[in-house]
Order: sequence, then structure tokens, then C-alpha cells
Amino acid sequence: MIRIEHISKSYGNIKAIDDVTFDVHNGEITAFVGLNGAGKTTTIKVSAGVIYPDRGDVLIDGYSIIKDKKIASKSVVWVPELPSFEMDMRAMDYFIYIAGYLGYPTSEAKELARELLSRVGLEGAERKRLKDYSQGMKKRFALALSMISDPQNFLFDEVLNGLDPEGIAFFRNFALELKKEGKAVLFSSHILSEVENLADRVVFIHKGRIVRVMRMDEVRNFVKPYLFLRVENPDSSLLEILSKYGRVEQSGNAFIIRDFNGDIGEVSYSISTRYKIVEIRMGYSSLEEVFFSIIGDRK
Amino acid sequence: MRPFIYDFKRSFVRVSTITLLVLFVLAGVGFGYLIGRGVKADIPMKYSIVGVLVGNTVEGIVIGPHGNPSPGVKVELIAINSVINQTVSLVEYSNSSGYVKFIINESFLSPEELVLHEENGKNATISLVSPFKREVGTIILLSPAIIFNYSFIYASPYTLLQQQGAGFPVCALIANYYPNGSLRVYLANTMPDYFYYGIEPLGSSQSSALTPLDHLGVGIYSLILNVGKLTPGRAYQLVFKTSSNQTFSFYFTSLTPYISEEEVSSVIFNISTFVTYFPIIFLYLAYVLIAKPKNYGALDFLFSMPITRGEIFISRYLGGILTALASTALLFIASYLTLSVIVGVTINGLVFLYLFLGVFLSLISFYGLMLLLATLFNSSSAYMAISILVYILFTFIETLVFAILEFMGYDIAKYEAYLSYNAPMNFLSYIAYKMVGASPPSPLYLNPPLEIATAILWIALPTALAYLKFTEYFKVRKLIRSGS
Ligand SMILES: Nc1ncnc2c1ncn2[C@@H]1O[C@H](COP(=O)(O)OP(=O)(O)OP(=O)(O)O)[C@@H](O)[C@H]1O
Ligand SMILES: [Mg+2]
Repeated sequence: MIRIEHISKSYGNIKAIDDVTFDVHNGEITAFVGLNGAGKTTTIKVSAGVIYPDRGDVLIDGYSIIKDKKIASKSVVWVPELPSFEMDMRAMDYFIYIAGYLGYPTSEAKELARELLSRVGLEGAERKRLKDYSQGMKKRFALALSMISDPQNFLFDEVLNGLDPEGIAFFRNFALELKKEGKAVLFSSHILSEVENLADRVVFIHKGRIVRVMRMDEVRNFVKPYLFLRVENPDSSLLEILSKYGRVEQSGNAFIIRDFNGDIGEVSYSISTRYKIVEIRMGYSSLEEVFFSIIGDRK
Repeated sequence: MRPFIYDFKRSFVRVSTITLLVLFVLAGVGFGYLIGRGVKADIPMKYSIVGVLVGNTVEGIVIGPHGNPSPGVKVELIAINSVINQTVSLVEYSNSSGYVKFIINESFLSPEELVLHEENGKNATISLVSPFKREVGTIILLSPAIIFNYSFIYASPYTLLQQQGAGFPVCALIANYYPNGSLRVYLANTMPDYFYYGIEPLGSSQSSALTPLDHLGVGIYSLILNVGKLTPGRAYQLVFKTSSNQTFSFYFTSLTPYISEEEVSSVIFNISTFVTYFPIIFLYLAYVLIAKPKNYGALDFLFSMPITRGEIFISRYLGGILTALASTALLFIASYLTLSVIVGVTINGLVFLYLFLGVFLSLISFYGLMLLLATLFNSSSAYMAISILVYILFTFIETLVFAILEFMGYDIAKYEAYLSYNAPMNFLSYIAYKMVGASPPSPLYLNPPLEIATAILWIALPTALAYLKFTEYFKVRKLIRSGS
């Protein structure tokens, strides 16, 4: 369980996050969705104890990441957007180094490294230098390192970004497994559809503020049908006819009827006498449109 | 493995660090050699000869600078023909066992001088302190120093200073004392008999027990005598006694490994000059351990682990300290070993310790300063630029300030001393200079408590500030206070 409580952080004049508050529950995958620069990484870094906020606190299973850093850190994993280690070291050596801080003697650390590295699919790459790791390997390596202390909470920052299909599948399955084990998972993304089939809840962040927290099925309810229509000879009375079926948006000779509540056959029949139809089809608004409408709500 | 050991390992075991360290070891060997050469130059005539004159034959063994028989040394005997009042010279080379022999023609019965030619072509004439006018007697020719003060200095592992005359029927040249308690003595004998020997500190009332030696005929003997432990700096007498109750005593002082003040000054000076470039390693270490990983976000990952920032800082600090310790130790051990093993001179260990501490502490203080810069600057290239600037400033500031002061017409001698506070090194090298009774090359401001205080400040302050900055100490304090 991660409790993010009123955290704010500015970089100079830029308010990266402003009074961010939400919870990441156990046994749930919480998606953390926002545009580039919305403040996802900043929130996650504060929660991982990597940077200090200007105000507020984050509780990991009840322990403050500021006051009880060591205990809190033990049960939270951070898989960064772009993991960076001391790249000229070998994976195994870096593992032993970190494990050393946690009190593991070299021989035990080695054993643990083999176990955890193979669990994240890095077996055979233990002797490689970290600079020779791919982005996906670095993310797996970060995951393996963080699992030394058997944590209960996971922060995945844009973890699917830049991964091949196998990597994407690995992290999705990994997250689902964690959920089954009753762990708390925060999964950030700037694409809502990326987390659609994964997350139970979505926390929307925009310009550093939390704009909405929704259950995933609620988000799906936002998905509405629309009608797309293109005619050769539009005029103002066409707009009038169409507006009976929903909200109409016009751009040139193309129309989109949002929240379409009619029948496609009926529409084409009723207008075909006066207008020459070039294209007519039904569609469903994408999650991304939902996303924009949600963050737009609060602008 | 403890993380700081790891930080040490990966800062020390680096191609760049190792390359520099190899340079330092070579420098250490170089210093040792330089000093050694200085010592040898102090004894221009490195060869001595022990011998006997029997009838018209002069036999001798040439002994080299380490107390060993020395082959191939040109020995020239200059004699005067009393009939025609003309000098004549006889030349022989010592053979493979250092042995040399002259047959003197009847008409040249008054040999006056024996000349030893060094292998490098230099030669020194030694006036004879020998009973050549007699028919039978021993000869002992020592380095020129002997002529003036009857003392004998050998730059061997344990130097002996011998007070000596010659012309007795028995004569001993005491060459070396070894830590296992044995004394190497060349004995020239013209009195066949059974010999006993004993050793006693000069001025002690009881005479030591005598150890039987052997029957010795006319000739020159290389003896290893067991004399037990000798106290450095003390005068002893080596006593030979024959069964016919004749006693011959030879005085010598067991010297503390001998090296002159000038040489120590030169070591200190050379090391200090060399050490000027030493900090570059630490500039680099602070870059590798803090500035670079910070710039590339590699520290972020560490921060996310169940480790405090303080622990990371201390681990990296200790790693650097161990590197400082190891590299300084290497430099000093290399110079020390070169001196004692290759050159055969031992420098006072305490002087070395002070020098070592001085270098070590100044490196630590420099490392602290570099860590501070590394924590202050977010970009590693900014760190590099500023740290190099600071290094140059610290290294050449004295020269710079002096140049400016002088240009402005100030009496620089008045201010010189104050500048010694720019590094803790100065204070410790000052002690080292004083310990050997030498005067430091530049005057130091003599205020020990203040010197110690500045040294501590130099080491502690930058490191403490770096720690506070690295751990964002005040920010965390504020957060904790506002949270509760
Ligand atoms: N180290 C920094 N220095 C200055 N500004 C920063 C820094 N890190 C983040 N910011 C700013 O803070 C804001 C939030 O950034 P953040 O990285 O948290 O966004 P994000 O949601 O993770 O974006 P993305 O999807 O691109 O990763 C942005 O305006 C960004 O420019
Ligand atoms: Mg981000």
C-alpha cells in the first residue's frame, strides 16, 4: 500500500507536481496516466525516495519515505523510465555492491543474484557490463536489484516504453502476478490504451495535478459511439438535421456526430435525397479521446 | 563485501589509477635512487684495502662500498727509490676475489702511497697510514674520511663507523653488521696464533666472554663473527686476543642507518614537488564516484534502495580514502625499499612516517574539496572545469600571489609564511624537516596549534559541507519538522 500525501515539488519556477494525493492499493494495479511532462516521473521519484518533495510525504506500508527511509525503501521497488547505473560495472558486480549495502556477504549475494536475475530473464547476462545492456535488460536488472529486499510495493515508470513484444509481455505478466500476490502496483503511462487491459484503477494527472481517479470500467463507460459523415454539398440545414442525433462537429465537408444516438441507415436515408454522401461510417471514441476529455474537464 | 571496500576496489583497480600508481612507484624508486646517489657521492672513495706487508710483498683485499671484496679495482703503489730519489709506481688490478699483490723491488723499500682507482675512472690517493718502514706489519687503507677523522662510513644496510689505526701486527676492518647479529670483519694478521674474540660496549666495566676463533696464519681473513644485538648509535670495541695473551681492540660505532640532512631535505623536497601532481587522481576519483554517476542519474537508483544517502556518501568517501592511503603507501614503500634494499641506506622511519602522513592528509583534504565540488555541480563537465581550475589555483597560488605582491612592490618575505596554510602538508613536512635538523626550503609560519587547526579544518570542512549537500540534510530536517 502506497499513500501519496499532498506532495509538491518545483524545479525553479516550474511546478512539476502540485499537492498530489492518491493511494495505490494492495492487490490492485493502478495506472498513472498523464501527458509528457504531466509530473508522473516526479511523483514516482518522490515515492521511491529518489528525490525529496518540497512538501508532503509518501507512506509505504505506513512508513514515511522521508523519515523512515530505510524501512520504507525496503518494501518499494522503482523501475525507472530510463534506468541508469554505474555503467562500466558488470551486472554481477553491481548486484554484489548493492547487496553489500543490505548486509549480504559476497557469496550469498552471488547466489541471490543468480536467482533474481534468472527470475527477470537475465540469466546468462550476469557477466556483461551494464553499458552493454539494452533498455529492456536495464529495466529487468533494476527490477531484480529492487527485489533483494522482497518488497510489497512496485513503481513502474513507463515500463513498457521502448520494449519489444516479449519485454512488454514480461512486464505485463509480471504486474498481473504481483497483483495476484496481493501487492500494490503503480504503472505509469502516457497512453491510456496501453494500460486498459491491465489496470484496475486509473489516476489521471495533468500539469502536475491529479485531475481524476476512476475505476477502469468507469473509464470504459466513457467510450461512446460516433458517426462519421462526408458529403459533397453540405449546407446549414444539414447541420440542423444531424444535430438531432447528437453533438455535431464540422470540419469542411466532414462531420462527426458525437454520442450518436440514431441508426446509421436512418441517417443515410433521410439525407441522401438532398446531399451526395461520399463516406458514412460508425465508430467508437478511443480511450485517448476519453483521456483528453477527462483532462479537458478540469482545465 | 563491505560497500566501501568495493568503492575502494573499483576506484583503485582502474586502468587510469593503476597507471598513475605505477608512475608513483617508479617515482618512489627514482627518489630512492636519487638519494642513494647523493649518499654515495658523500663517500667519493668507496674502496678500502686491508692488507699485510711481509718482507718485500704487499698483499691486500680491496673492499667495495657494500663491504664485499671488489674485483677489477686498479691499485697503484707509489714508492720512492731512496737511492736516486725518484718515485716509481706499480700497478695491479684486484682479482676476482678482490685480492691484490705487489712485490717491491729491494731498492724501493720505502713505499709512500697506495692509490685506489675507482671503476668509473675517478681516483683518490690515500696517504699511507702504514708501517711501511718496518719489515712486517699490516696495512689498512680506508676512505679519505679516515685520514681526517679516523672514522669510516660504509653505506651498507647497517653502517658502521670505525675508529682505526694501522700498523699493529693485527688489524681489523669492520665492514658490516647484519640484523641477525653477525659482524663481518676483514682481519689482517702477521702474527700466527690461536685467536679469540669478544665484543663489548665502550665504557662498560665488565669485559665480555671470549669466543674461540681458530688458528690464524699470516694473511687476510674474511670473518663473520657472532656478536649478538648491537644498539644503534653506541660505540663498541671488538677485541681479539691470542693464546699468547696479546690483545688488540678495534673501536667502532654501530650507526643508525646513516643519511645526511641534506639528503632527507632533498627527499622531502622531491616528494613534495611530485605530490603536487598526485591530487589529479582524486580529482578524477570524485568525478568517477560522485560527479559522473550523479550527472547520469546512476545515483538515483542507489537512492531508491534501502540505503541512506549518508551511507552512500561515506562509502564513497572511505573508498577514496583507502585509495589515497594505498597510493601514498606505495610511493613511500617504493622509495623506502629502493633506499634500503637497492641503495643500502635506511632513512629514519619516523621522518618517513611524518612525510607519509603529510602527503596522505593533504590528499584527503583535496579529496574532500573535490567531493564538495562534485556535489555542488549538477553537470559533470561543470565539475571537471571547476575542479581543474581549483587544482591549478591551489597548486600555483603561492607563486601567483608572490608574483603579484612582488610586482606591487611588497616585501614578500614577510608574507611568505602565511601562505603555508594552504595545505596541511606543509605543517607535517615542517616536522619532518625539523626532525632531521634541516631547515625547510621556505620559511613556515611557526604556530603549531594554528597549523594543526588549519590542517583539521582543511580536511573536515569541505567533507562536512559535501556531506550536508549530498544528503540534502537541511531540506530533510525541514520536511521532517513540518511533517510532525
Ligand atoms: N530535473 C528537472 N529539472 C527541471 N525540471 C524538471 C526536472 N524534472 C522534471 N522537470 C519538469 O517537471 C515537469 C514534470 O516532469 P515529469 O518528468 O515528472 O513528467 P512525466 O509525466 O514523467 O513526463 P514524461 O511522460 O515525459 O515522462 C516537467 O515540466 C519537467 O520539465
Ligand atoms: Mg516521466
